[in-house]
Amino acid sequence: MKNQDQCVYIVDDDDAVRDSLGLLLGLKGYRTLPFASADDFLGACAPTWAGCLLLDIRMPGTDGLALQTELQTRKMQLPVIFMTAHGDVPTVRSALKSGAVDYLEKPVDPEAMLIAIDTAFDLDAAQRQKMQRADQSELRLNALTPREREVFDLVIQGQQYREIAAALGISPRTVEVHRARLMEKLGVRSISELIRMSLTQ
Amino acid sequence: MEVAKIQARFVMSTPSTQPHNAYPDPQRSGFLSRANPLLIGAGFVVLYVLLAWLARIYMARPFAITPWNPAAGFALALLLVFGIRYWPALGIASLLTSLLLRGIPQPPYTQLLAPLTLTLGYVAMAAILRGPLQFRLAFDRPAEIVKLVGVAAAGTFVMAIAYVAVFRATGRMAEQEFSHIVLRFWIGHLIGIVINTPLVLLLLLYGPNLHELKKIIATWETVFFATITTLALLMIFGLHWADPYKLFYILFLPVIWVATRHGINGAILGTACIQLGLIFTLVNAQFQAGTAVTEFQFMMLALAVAGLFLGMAVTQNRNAVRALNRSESRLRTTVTTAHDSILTLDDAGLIIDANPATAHIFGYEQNTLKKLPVSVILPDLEWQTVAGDLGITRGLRRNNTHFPAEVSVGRTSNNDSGLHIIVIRDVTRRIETTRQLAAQQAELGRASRLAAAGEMAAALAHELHQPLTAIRSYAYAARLQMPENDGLTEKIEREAARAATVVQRLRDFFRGGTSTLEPVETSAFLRNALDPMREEASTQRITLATNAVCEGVTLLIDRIQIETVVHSLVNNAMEALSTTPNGCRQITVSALAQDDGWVQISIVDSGPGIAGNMSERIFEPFATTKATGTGMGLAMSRTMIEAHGGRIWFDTNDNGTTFHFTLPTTLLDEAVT
Repeated sequence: MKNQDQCVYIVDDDDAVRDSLGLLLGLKGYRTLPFASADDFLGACAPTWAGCLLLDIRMPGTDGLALQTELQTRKMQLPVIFMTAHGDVPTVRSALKSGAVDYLEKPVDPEAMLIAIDTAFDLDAAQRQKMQRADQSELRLNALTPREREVFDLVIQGQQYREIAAALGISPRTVEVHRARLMEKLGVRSISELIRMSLTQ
Repeated sequence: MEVAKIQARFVMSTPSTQPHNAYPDPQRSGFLSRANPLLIGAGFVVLYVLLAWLARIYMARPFAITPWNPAAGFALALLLVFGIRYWPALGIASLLTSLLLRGIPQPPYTQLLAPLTLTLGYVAMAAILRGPLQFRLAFDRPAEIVKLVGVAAAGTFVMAIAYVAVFRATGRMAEQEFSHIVLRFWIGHLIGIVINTPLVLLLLLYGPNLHELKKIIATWETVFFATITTLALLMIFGLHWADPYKLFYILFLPVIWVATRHGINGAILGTACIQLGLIFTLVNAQFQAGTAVTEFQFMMLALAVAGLFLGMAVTQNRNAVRALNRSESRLRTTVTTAHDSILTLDDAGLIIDANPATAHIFGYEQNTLKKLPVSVILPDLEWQTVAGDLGITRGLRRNNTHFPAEVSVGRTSNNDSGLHIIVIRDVTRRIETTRQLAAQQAELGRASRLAAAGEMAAALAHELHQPLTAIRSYAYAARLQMPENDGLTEKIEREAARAATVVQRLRDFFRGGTSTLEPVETSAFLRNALDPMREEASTQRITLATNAVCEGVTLLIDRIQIETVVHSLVNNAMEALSTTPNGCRQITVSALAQDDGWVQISIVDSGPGIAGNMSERIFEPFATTKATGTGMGLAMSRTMIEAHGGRIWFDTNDNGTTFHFTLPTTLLDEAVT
């Protein structure tokens, strides 16, 4: 049911909170990794980390909101679930605005937390898959010759062979050849597949 | 520079207590400041010689000694006003006079000795008056008359002896003549000073402001005065029906009259006139004997001195009366202008006088207050026994209303009159203001304590939410590990959640947080609310009972908030019962549905009731009788109940206290929709 490379990164300065949440999530079959401060987490994290971040807003040193901003700077797409014992509206608003998945008020309701984590995991997985696909198509596009690339750009704009041939100053037959070759290289079987691929780009 | 000093002498010598315009200010007129010292000296010499020449009557030749010597007063005035440094002018003047009247005598050095004696004498007199005696040029006190006459009498006597002795030394005087000549010299110079020095001072004072002097002179009274003086002189010397010596006293009449009318100024001018008139008459009446003139001059001296003293007394009296009037008018204005009531009482406590403020404050007509006993308006005042600040007593208005009156009493220093002055201030507004200020400050204090409590509640909420999170999570984890535990872990979780909610509500209360309404069935609500308290109640041997629980009526409330209210009220009731004997400790909670869609909950205890002084403030924050209480319980309860649109109140007596509050039901909601 759970993706094995996904993990709940718990960042909270309170030992008991970290320990109890870790215990609970562990029993529920989640992998967890606790950090006592935002700086500890930033020191250890890597772009390959998958799962979600269970993040206390108010902590000594770097606080939760600052950590979230730092992650965005580092282009890490790990979804963030905020926890707060304060529940003041402005903090909540800025947390959600900057892209937090959810927001849990302490004392955290375990059921609500589990739901939030699952949501975050799904989001994380989808993001990763999309990224992976984009990476693949990027790789294949790089295999095209410059001429094939030109033909590709015009094809996905919906132009006919004749128009493409006129634009590039080559014969329609040559265009046909280029198209067949680039479709083969990209591993697509139809024009519509080609266009869908270009959209994920 | 010297002139400025002279002016200063005039100014300084005018006492500040004098009424305004009693003397014109020479400084302001600048009349003396324009004068050149040389001009003054030359003018003096001319006038002196002229006067001496005019006064050359009954001269005891060859010594030129006359029984009338107006130039003497003129000389002393010069040195007094302008300073002793003008002595050369005097010396020159007297030398010239001597030459003019006597020619060159033998031996010639007497011609120098005589003026020298005169000059020395005047300088000595002026020095004594200006120096140790502090003679005042304003000539405004009887003491100045005494100084002037005394110094002049002694000075001219010594001068007379010295002067005459000079001639005698030359051997040109008969032995028996000596005392006679001395006497003549003495009276001539003395009367010249007594009459003319004040006259010159007066003219110098009024010189710049003749207008003032005119007020005295240019009247019909002057004509009248001149007429009687003339008539008197005619009667004395002209009619020859009686001895002139016996009739001389008639001259006192015009002097008394002019001094009484015009004070010292009138006396100075009047005596000068009479002197002139007397000399004129004597000359014309062919009194050949210089001795007779000397005798008349002694009487004239008495007349002049008496006139000066009388005039001075009149002036002083007038000034005193004027000063008194001004002071009186100032006081009167003060009293009538005052906003405070000011009363004058006689020894019997009757009001003699009351200012307009009294009438206003007590609601009387001002004149109806007179002759009323003070007890009519100040019933509690013991004004006879004390003086000074009497503090606040009861003021009674005419319409029988009271007000707080701040009273002070004084006694007039005049012992024979025995008057009491009472000052009364209506301090209603002040007391009210003070009270409001105190209330505002108390309110402010409460507000700041509330703010501090809010901060504390927020911090507390934050700190408690951490362990509560852990408790909840541990309990959840425990349930995962031991699914069969009779719901124990759920209970832990629920209580943790409840604790969190209470803390949250506390924080929200201070932050003015809102509540969320939910439908709750009344009896279930009461059961849930009271169940956690039953164990504590039974420990304290308190019977905690419910009746009439309104089964089936659904409340629309914030359950947690109202539970807090119930807990708070029941806790208070349990504490109230701690001093009640076992077996009598009873708390009854009841709910009563009202017709208008509200439910009234009542919590009755059998405790000793609430002390009267506490019951007024019982709902205010931080008002507590308990050593360990926060004083927040009832304040929060009231806030919460009122947030639901309900109200909370209580009845208390010696047999116990009942708190009531009302709660909305769903019926109310339906009625609206």
